[in-house]
Amino acid sequence: MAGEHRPVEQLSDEELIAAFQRGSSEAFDTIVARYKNPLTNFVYRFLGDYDDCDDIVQETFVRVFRNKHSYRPQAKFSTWIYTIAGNLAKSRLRQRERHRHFSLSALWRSEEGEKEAEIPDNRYPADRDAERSLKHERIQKALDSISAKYREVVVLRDVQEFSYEEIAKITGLNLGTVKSRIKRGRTQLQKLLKDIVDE
Amino acid sequence: MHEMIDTTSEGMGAENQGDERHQVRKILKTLPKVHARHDFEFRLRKRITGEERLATPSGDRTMVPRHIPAYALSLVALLSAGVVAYFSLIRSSADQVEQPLKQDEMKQETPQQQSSPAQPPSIKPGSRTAEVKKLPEVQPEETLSTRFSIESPSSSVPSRKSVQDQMRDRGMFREVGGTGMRSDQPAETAATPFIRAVPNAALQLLHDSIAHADSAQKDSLLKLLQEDSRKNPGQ
Repeated sequence: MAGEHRPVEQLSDEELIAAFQRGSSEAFDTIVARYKNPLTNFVYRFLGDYDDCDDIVQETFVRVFRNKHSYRPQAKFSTWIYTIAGNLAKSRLRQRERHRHFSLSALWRSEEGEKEAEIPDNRYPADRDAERSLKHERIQKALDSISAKYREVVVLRDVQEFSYEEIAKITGLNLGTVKSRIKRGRTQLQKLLKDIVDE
Repeated sequence: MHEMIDTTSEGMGAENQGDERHQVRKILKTLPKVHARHDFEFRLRKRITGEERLATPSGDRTMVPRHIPAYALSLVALLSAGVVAYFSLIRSSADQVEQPLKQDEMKQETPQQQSSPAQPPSIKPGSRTAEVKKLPEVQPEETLSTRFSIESPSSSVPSRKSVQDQMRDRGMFREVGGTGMRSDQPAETAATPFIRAVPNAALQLLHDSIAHADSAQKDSLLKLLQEDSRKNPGQ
């Protein structure tokens, strides 16, 4: 096959996964190098927490490693890996919702008065640029505020720049639903970011 | 030619909304790209290796978590069997000890009669004289001990030594060596106090007979007893 004579970095995603299925660990390393940042960006914009995002992306690659033979070349590799990452992120979100039922500040009350628990803000990466503007933080907060079902498709479309058809395959929704959810998500964001939009 | 421009409010609103949503898209595109940490691959490799180690079975398949219930049940069964065997052994050895003792007791004296001092039966003089049976005359050379001998007629009254020999034969003596006890000393058993309390087996048998006899017989037996004690003051 022609792909076997080219350097691994020049192979397409489908050729890489095929090589990995044949036992090439170098192909897997290339897949990781190629997708770790885009996946991190997608999962972070969806979840809003960097530690969770890191864990989800790691788990995504572990699943790719374990289930390499379940990939079929009929679909694009990017669709397959983003589907895994998206499902893991949604599970984590549901988990988070289930455990968010008590007040941490109630644990810190003392005789002197109420004390608020100070929880460090881990939502942003530790190596964030010092010049990160308040605008970006506000945009991220606005994203965190809208419904998860709109957020997912808006991030895939406007941040990751996937097509409507690819988003439909990743999310398992039909094309019409994808378009309507994107539209509604943008409308909600527009209301939250009105002052930024008007600039 | 003039272009047809939709100047209605709905048309203008929709267009504005479209523009605004387009703006939102532009804003989202300006967000900086978030990257993975620098040690991402290193941690991923560790994670995968750790999972592989868990997934592959180790060489030693003996101590596997799913075997624990089987091990526990085997242990419980073994312990139960041991406990049952232990108690059954004790029981059987105790039965072995009790049986010969019971036989000895039946042949010699009953312990209940030894526990209370033998009291002479109250015999009223002159009562039931018509019922006195004629008992055989006691020959001078014949003593009560020979007449009421349990063993063969030729043998004497079973002595303490013969009783001890019998017990030794039945394995009731404990041969103890090096513990300060003499090896020919008899072991203490449940029958020991009864054996020691019997000075003369024949005498005891006589006492038993007296207790169960009627008044006439008691008279004659008492007379025999008195004669015997006069002849053999030491017994």
